[in-house]
Amino acid sequence: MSKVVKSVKRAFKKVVKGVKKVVKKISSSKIFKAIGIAAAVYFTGGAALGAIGGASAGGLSGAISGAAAGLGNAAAGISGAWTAITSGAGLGAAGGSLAGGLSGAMAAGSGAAGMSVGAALGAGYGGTAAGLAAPGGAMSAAPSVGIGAGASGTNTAAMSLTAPTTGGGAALGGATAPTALESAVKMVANKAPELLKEEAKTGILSSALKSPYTVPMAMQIGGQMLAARGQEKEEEQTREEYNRNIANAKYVSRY
Amino acid sequence: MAGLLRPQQKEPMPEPPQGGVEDDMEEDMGEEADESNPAFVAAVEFVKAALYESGASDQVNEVVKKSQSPVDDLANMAYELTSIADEKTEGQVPDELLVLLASTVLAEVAEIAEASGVKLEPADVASALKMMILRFVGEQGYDTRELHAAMNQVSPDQINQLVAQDVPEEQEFV
Repeated sequence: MSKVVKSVKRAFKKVVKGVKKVVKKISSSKIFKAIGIAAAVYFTGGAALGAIGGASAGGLSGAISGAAAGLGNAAAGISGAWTAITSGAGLGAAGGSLAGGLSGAMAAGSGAAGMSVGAALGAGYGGTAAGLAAPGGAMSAAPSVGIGAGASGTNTAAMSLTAPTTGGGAALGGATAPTALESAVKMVANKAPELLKEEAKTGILSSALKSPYTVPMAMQIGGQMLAARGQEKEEEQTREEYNRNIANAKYVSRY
Repeated sequence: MAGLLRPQQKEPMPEPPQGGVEDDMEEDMGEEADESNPAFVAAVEFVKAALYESGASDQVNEVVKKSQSPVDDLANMAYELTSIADEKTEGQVPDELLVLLASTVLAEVAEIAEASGVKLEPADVASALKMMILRFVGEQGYDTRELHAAMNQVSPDQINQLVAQDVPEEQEFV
């Protein structure tokens, strides 16, 4: 979930066990109710839903139990998957451990391509990402103002990098580890010199000729130059002819 | 907007507990951390400050309004916020409170989105939670394919149907 968490492995059994606390929190809020029920379904395969039904008064029990029963194979599948994970069987299997965060983000099926990378590049995400990174700095100081207008990826990246240096979250113990977002931004920043080197290797002329705009432009300029040269030559001929005619007119032979 | 994390005061942040060894001992002794856990309180306060004092809620608002896939965005924003809060508390939020922290953050971000005019079905919020769970599991180095496939067998209609049941307010479930 974060760098801290990555370095200190979370005990999955305890994490999963924690779903009980979410279910307990179910309140009149429709959103939290949805989250609580989803947590019960996705963590326990609906087992915690039975607890909801059992504890409630009136007709809720039957309705929830019926819906939970309808989960059928899904419930069994979810329970089985969690058992595999909490027992450690899924660890390191087939690319599961490969590149942690990135694969995780992709596995989540996010069309937004993972906050950490997508946001850093400013693909419509910019402002929020900067804002999320920024509060760490702003915790003990004045609130950050106007962070992340969100229009440009470059601006956003700069903000993300600079934000944590202000304040440093001292009130919470001054965490120093950069966020995933910052890492992504730094990765992009580190890549920049390499990209510049690549550009230098190819040279200005060759890279210019690759441009779809360069060739037509060159042809147009060349055409204009040829036309100008032709016109110049024509004027020269006209001038010579004129001079010849004048000369003939002045020096008419008397003989 | 009515949020779960409405800031109420400008009190200093509670200090997270120092030293993970004591925590481990406490956990080993079978004592379960609850919502009064200092690190959890600090993480929630951090999120609260980020959203409402540092203007992140405005940015959430802007993003979801323009978003083509608000559910993905909600999941990602809530995940990032949870991660940052976890980092700021040096990973000392007890394991058993992580889901509650993530859920609380997601609920808050979803409420902001709804206040921005984005219509969210219960299944959408559930889907966002699913993404967060899968991302977390993946980042812990596990293969998420089996879990992902199993979770996908639960249809959005089923989630909507479950949520449509009338759950009494502030009910305590054991």
